[in-house]
Amino acid sequence: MKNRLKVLRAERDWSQADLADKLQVSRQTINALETGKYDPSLPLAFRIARLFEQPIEAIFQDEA
Amino acid sequence: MSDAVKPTWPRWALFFAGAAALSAIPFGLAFSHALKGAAMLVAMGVWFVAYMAYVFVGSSRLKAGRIGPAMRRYRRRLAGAMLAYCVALMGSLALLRGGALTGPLLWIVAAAPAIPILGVLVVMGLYLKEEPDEFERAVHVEAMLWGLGVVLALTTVWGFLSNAQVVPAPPLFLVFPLFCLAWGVSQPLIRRRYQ
Repeated sequence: MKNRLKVLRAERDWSQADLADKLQVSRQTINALETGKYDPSLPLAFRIARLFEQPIEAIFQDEA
Repeated sequence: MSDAVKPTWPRWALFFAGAAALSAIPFGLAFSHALKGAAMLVAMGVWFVAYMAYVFVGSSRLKAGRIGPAMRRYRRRLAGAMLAYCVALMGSLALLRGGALTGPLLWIVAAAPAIPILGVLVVMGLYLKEEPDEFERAVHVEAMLWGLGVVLALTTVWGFLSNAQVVPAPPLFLVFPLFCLAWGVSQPLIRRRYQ
């Protein structure tokens, strides 16, 4: 699933490690999310949305 | 800040080469007949502990900073189970060597090395339960399925071959190490797909 994580992270000047710390996941997880190859669970998607203060559908785009 | 990851594969390759060299030692000892009886048993015990230490220390240095608390607990429990396995295996072999055991005691002593291995299964289950990172969990579950697939494929083919008496019966105690090997090897390949 496509997402804007990389852009949102760059806007805040956070590294992958910074974002990983804030979400309490591993840096590898952030990497897998950003490539769009791993879709987060609903709880993690909500944590991401809360962190960036945006609705989930503004961060993740479903291509259908 | 840079997100670039330094290539770690040369260090991993060196680590696996070292592990392969250490793995050759018991075969060398067995085929050279340099040690016999109790001396061989003690040498194998020392080798096993040294091998475990190499694997645990080596992998923790290679994974520096990427080992979370759940993984650390898993590694500690695994080390404990493997040490228990070493003690149980050596004790069991020493007692069986005498050939004096019979009845239920023989059964218990013969099966004793399997108990810590069953413990390893529990340790693996606990890790999956305790790992807070869902991506890590997903990678491990997928790697376990690959391990299971490899074991089922190989033992099924081997089983039919041995039914036809083309090859001897499969040594079933090796099924678990085979599962662990396939699980370990598939992990970096699975991770690569997500990069």
